[in-house]
Amino acid sequence: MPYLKPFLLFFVCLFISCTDVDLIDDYLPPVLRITTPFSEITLGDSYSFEASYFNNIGEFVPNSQLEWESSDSEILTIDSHGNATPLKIGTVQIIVKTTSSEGSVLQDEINITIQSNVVLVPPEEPIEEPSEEEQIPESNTQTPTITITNGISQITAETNYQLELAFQDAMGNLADVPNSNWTSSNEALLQVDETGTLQAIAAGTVTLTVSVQVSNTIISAQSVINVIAPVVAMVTSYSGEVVSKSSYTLEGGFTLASGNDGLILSLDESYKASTALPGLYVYLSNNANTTAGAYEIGAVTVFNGAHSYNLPNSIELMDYKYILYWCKPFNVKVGEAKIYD
Amino acid sequence: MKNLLTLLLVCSSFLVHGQWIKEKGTGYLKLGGWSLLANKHFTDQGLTDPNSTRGLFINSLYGEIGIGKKINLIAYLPFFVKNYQFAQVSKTTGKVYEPRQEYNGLGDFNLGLEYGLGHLKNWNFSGSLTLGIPSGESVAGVDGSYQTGDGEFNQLLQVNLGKSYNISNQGFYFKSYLGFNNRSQGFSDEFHSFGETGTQLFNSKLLILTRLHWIKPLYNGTLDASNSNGAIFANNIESFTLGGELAWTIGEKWGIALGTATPLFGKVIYKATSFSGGVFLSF
Repeated sequence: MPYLKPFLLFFVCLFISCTDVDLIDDYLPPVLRITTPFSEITLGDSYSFEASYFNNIGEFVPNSQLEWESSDSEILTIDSHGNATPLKIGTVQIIVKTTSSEGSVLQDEINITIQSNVVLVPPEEPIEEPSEEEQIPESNTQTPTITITNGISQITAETNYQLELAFQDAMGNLADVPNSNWTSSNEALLQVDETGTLQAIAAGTVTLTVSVQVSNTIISAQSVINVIAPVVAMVTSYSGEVVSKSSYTLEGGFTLASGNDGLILSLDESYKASTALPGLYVYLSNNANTTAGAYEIGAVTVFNGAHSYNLPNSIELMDYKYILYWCKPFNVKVGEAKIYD
Repeated sequence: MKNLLTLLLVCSSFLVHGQWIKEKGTGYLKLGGWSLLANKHFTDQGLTDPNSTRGLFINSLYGEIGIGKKINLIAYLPFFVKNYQFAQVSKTTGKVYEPRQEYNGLGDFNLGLEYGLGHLKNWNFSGSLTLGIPSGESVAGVDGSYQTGDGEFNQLLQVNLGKSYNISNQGFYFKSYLGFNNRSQGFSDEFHSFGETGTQLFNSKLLILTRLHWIKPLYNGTLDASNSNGAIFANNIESFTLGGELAWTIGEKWGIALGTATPLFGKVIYKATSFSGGVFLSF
């Protein structure tokens, strides 16, 4: 068989030689995204905003140069690091910009409502407390008074507020406030310094007392203040639908929500996935066309009904835009869910 | 998703070249190569979905040897199986997401006996039992999906029949079988049916033939993604495959064969045309 050797060589060359690649169509428009999901903040505190730049394949680009702006600097100011200080009640737009690697300017914005951190009340009536040693004789003079002119009945924890005093002397004239002494009935909830600056710590009810000594008389005023928990409104969960992007069965509702120790991805009772798929995995990704750069939650082991995945607390709610169901061995998208728009 | 092992089976059937029961001491050997490259597959719904491009290449030795008056020994020995996947590269950046992967190993050997049952008029009947030996790797490669075998021992029982006929003085043959494949390890059993017809041209130098092969699972297995680790690649597969082959006798006893096959319909199987070639020897 003189031709046997050439034929064998032919077959080996024919079937073994292959060096091709699969090109993954993974282009996405670069995007800049504010990832701090505040919608309401309160006066008296500062807030740190963050934004992430994702390049043309959905990869997070660290250390991007960001420019932060406030649409109304009388309502809120924001520095170059995204630290915002609300100045008065209102609605403002926070804008962040960066320049992509392709040279285009990317922008994202978020509308923020600024609420007051306190509830004002009318000034308290002064309380006269004569000293034990001496009683003030009756005369045509009147009792000096001290008044909190911007008293409050409520303050939000983790915020500050400056109280103001007015002093009326024995002749009924407004005068400089003598050295005042401020005390809080519970400093674990509300602290006050010698200038009347309040620092709300935690929720609860506190009696605040301010007193001044005039001659031998101590005059004081009291205010009962309710400290409430922070009312910063921010998005804490997203819900949606997992839909099949293949011919395989995959459906169900999902919720991505903050838990006690990190986010929890929950699939509801309507969830169904084909058991004919080998190597089905679930990912969080910023590119719906590839798992490159995605966070691999793990292999799918539940194919019907409600279940959940606990995510590490290093993952924030807006870090990823898509949930991907992927046949890992064959690099095929089976389905997806958009976490948010 | 895609069943590589089914293709091994299809491949083996396509290598069947002998026709009737061979006399003792005679036989047929074929050293062949078989290749398939697929970037789509039939899903479990029978629809077509894409996949990363995967390839399968098999070098095998097929033989039928008469070991008795009415008994043939049949062996299909895939001694080299290459299961590979193309590199996955970003079209946008050129970044290599996953390099080319491959796994080489033995495939699942098939060993069988065929017994001549006799003939009725010009119909020849035989029965055969083929044992599927799990000599390949059912979990192989970086993620376990580059398997070269299904990891289960199966027994394919067939009733074969063959017939010669003429059309306009041109001689043809027809052969067919019905089979039941008893599979183990939670795999669904299968019903097989097969038909082949062909004729010889140019003074019997060239054999031209065409085949149909239908594999229908009985869906009585317990194996699925919820209770297995990769082996479901080979479960509940269905295929209806059309193939053809040319065999050219060059020497007195040997020649070359070139074949192709494509699935017309299927479930859990690659949707791609396979190509094969080999050198055969009759003695």
